[in-house]
Amino acid sequence: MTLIVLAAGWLAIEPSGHAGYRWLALAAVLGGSVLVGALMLTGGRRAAGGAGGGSEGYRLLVERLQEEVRELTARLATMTRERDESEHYIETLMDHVPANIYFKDMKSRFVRVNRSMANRLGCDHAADLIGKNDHDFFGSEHADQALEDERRIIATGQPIVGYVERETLPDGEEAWVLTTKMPFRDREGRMIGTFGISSEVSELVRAQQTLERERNILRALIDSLPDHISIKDTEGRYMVVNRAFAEFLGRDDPGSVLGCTAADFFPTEVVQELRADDEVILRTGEGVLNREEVRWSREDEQLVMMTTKLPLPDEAGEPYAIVALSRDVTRERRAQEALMRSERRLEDIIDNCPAVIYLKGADGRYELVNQRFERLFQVRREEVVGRTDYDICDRSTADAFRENDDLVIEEGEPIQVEEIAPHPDGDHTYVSVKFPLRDLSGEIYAIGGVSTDITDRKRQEEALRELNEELMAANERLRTAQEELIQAEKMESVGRLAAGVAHEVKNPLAMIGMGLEIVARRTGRDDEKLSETVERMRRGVERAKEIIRGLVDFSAARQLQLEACDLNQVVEETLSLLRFEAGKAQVSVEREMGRDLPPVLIDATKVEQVLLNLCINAVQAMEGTGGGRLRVQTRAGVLAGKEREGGVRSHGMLRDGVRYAAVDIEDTGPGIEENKMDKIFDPFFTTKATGKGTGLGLSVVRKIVDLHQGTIEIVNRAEGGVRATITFQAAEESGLREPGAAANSLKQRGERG
Amino acid sequence: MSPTKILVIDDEPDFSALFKENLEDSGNYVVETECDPSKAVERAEAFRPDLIFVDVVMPAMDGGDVVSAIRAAPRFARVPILMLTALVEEDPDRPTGESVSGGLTFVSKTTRLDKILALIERSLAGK
Repeated sequence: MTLIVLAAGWLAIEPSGHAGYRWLALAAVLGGSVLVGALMLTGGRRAAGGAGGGSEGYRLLVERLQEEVRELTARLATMTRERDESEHYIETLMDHVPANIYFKDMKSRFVRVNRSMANRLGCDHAADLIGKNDHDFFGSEHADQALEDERRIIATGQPIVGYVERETLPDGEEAWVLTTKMPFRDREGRMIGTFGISSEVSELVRAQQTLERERNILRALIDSLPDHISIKDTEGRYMVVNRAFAEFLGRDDPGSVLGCTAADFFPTEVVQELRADDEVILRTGEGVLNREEVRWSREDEQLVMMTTKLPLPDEAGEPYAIVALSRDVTRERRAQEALMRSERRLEDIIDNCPAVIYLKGADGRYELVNQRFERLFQVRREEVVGRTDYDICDRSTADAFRENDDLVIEEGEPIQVEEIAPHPDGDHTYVSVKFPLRDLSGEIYAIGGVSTDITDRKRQEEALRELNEELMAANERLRTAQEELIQAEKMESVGRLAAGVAHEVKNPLAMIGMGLEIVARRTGRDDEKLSETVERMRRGVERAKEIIRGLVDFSAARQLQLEACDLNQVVEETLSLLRFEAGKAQVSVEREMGRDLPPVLIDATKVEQVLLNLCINAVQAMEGTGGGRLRVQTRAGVLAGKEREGGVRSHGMLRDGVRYAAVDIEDTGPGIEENKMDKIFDPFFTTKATGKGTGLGLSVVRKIVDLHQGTIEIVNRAEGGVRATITFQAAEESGLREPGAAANSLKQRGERG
Repeated sequence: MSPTKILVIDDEPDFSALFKENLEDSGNYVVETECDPSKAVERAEAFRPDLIFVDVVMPAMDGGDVVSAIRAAPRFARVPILMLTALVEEDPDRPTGESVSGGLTFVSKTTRLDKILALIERSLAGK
């Protein structure tokens, strides 16, 4: 019977699972049994005595009692042993379980704690905690919460199972614990407090927190990325999308996209394209990297997307999803295109520039050259870039280039230099502007150069210089010629004077001579004195004749040096002398050289003098009116009739039918007054201001033309200005065969004989 | 033998007179002189000279014009004409000092008389 009660008591406590209580109950049961046994023993004895006999019965009773006591004692010992054993189990459990176990009374004071709990709260012995509460050990945050929890348990009888709470320990350490708190009842089921078990799960919680944080960071990361990120399962359903992609799809919440497919957002052709794409990726297990795709934004803008898609394999290596990462590179592409356009333009400018353009690194290696450069050195730019002048030029040329480059680096400033570069047709001169290019830190990293071919200019300069020298020489010759002309004019005037004097003196001298002949004949041989006188007079006449001859010889014009000449050549010579004078007077010179001119027998120097004189007259006439046009023309012809215009011509001594070569000199000057026309060939006649001319020019001109048996004609042109025409008969027609034959100016007329 | 008739056309009457006297004194010559060149042809027609001297420098009409006018008549086409002028000097290379140019023979007025006479004889001989 007692055992049954014990078992029931034990079992009754069983649900609480609290070993301590069970043992307490056990002790109480045991105590009760002893008491009951004693009572039963007494009553039994009385009953036995009444029924059995006195001492024998008593003895038997005592024996039975002693037996029972022994039995009971033995059982007690067994039970005590068992109890101790159980207590040992509990103690062992309490002391070694890696969890904190406590019992609290109704006022949340500790009534029993295990060693772990004591240690955790900084106590050496569990007993130190008895009677204390959470507020003695924890911050109020935890302690208040614990108190509230326990009150609720007590009030409701409901346990709080397996919740995680944070504890701040006395040493300030924070910890996370997994706690279960339960109501503590006595055997009768009365609430006597609470008990609980908690184990520290800080590491677990922290690991979880870390995981959570990482997850959040990752989420925040993909959401903050402007790239479109998505993960699709093998059916094409979105498993993950980031914010940027959701917004691209028109959704504010990325979560709302999950489970959707591309078909929910894209037009059919895009869906098909994506699906085909995904199928290939899933089948082959190979993704695509940085593929450019054209997409249309919801605002209908064309976008260029750079897409990467990769399969995500499961543990078995089978793809279970496709991750896609897509970046809008529209702006970059446009910028790139703009850059390319701009680079293209720059390249075009550089390539089409007629100068040679190049860029060399500070080490002298070419980095850029233009087309002109390629043509100059006959190399392609791929062959030049990375190489130096020494690879494409001969050593001395490269040395010269390098020297200038070094100068740029040394000076740090642009320089302008002349450089010589070899061309197939010989060396060309370039003017090169070379300048440093600096990086952000101001270091020179390259040298730019623009070289312009100035060979032509150089040549022109040289030609100009030569021309100038020629002009100076021509001017000098002109001056000399003019001096000669003046000299000739002077000589002509002296000559004319002498000739006139000679003629006038020779006439009377001739008369004296004739008279002397008569006197001599009539003087008798006997009158010696008179004969001697006549003889002396004769000698006087001879002497006078000699003097006159000397005078005439001295003053006579030089004999002509006749030669068959090309009149055109003589005219050209003259015009070359005239260039300076004409330019000075702003007179333009036109020439029209006739073809097939017959050679003429002339003294070129003298004729040049004539032409020059006429041309200078013309130029000077036009100079007064601020310039004009001098036209010089040569022509050939056959003389037919003598047309006379309103001008003057020298004594025509040419016959009809002779071939001739003629020069026309026309000016646009003011012309010659008609009333002066017949005086222009007179010596000392001039229209020029005093000192500007001797007035002998045209008379000399005519003299020279006459000596050549040519003609000169000067007329006012109908359209204004003057035309002077000189005509020489062709050499084969000329009567001028032997030098000196023309030493007189008389006409060739009539017959021979 | 009838005398040779010589016509002298010169605007200088003093010279003409002295020249005529010298010629007539020196040989079988009849000399006529004419001072007005414009009357030269008329005078020649009347006189029919065998040889004519023509001065070159004369007023109104120079020697050349006179020669042209005389030669225009066929009668005088072959009559020797000597241009007698102070303009030219004697040609020292020729014994009689004359010079020939353009088909005409020029004689300096100051040529000595003997040379002129020799020239006349040669001209009349057609050499």
